[in-house]
Amino acid sequence: MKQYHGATSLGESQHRFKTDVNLIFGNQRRERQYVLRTTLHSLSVWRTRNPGVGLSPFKIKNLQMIKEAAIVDREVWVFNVNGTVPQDIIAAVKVACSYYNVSPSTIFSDIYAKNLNVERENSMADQALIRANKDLYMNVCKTIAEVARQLGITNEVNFYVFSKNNNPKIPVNDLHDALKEGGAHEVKADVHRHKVHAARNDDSDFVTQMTNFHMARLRT
Amino acid sequence: MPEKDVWIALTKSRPLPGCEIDMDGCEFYFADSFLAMEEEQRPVAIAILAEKVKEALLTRKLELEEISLCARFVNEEWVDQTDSIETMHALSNKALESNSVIFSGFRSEDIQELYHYHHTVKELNEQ
Repeated sequence: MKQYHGATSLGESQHRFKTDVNLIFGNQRRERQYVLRTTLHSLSVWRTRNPGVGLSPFKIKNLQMIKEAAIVDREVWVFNVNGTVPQDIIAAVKVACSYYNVSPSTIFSDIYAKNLNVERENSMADQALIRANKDLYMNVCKTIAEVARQLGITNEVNFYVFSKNNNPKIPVNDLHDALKEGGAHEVKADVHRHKVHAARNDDSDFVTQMTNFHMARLRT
Repeated sequence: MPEKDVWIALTKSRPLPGCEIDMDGCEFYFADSFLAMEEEQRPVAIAILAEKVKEALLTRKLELEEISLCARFVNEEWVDQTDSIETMHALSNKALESNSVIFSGFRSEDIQELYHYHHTVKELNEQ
């Protein structure tokens, strides 16, 4: 019997640089049929930054929260989602569950992010930026665990992160510390590296790099 | 309206403190840069291109280390072997519609070494 898999990505920006959610450790791939992609951008900003990408937009209401969403390439995108706000992610997961008619654990057991980082203030020194990014990853981890609890997911969830080991915005030791401080009981890095495209937060330039691949396991 | 040329420069640059492109921690980043200029600027095009590229990199907090190739980009003379998200020809067209320097993506040193970005001038008498 064919097995169907799902995944969620956080912090997406440009469609052409979307995170590879099919990758797992050991240079293996798990094809995902149910994919939820979330972005901090509003639908209108995202459209401006992704000219020519076809999408079917719609609005959703979860409790008192209204979110914009769209289907792009048979994947669910939800906009205005802050990766450190549980209610944002819960609303997004519910949309994906409803669209694909699957359970939350199908969508939210494998979560991916690529080079998350806070906006650097003009005067921000490197150490301050690293501290801010550690806080960001720690808070995302805590949020993932909280979302899983609230959605009734009882299995462990995996948080996969693409980030170069010597990324000056968050070197590997700081990244792993942040994931552990965020509640991960196990954090490891894959021996394989992968080619990715990573855009600046304002999307004006991008870098092509060979990056490292990390996984944090979180108990709910 | 005067005709315009597009010029290409292959750049190697070093990230300065606070560089947002520096997501890799490598010493140098590589990028192809394109700039449109009036035909009458041909005699001074290389000097203008080098200066404008240097300025454009500095606004991104990158310091130009080296330009390894600088030439007039004529569409039919170039074969794109770069495995880039946007082809050289698409970037050249963008440059024609802009007054600014247009950059390809920035490549980390690993990528530059692994993917061997080559730019080949096609022999015009080839059949």
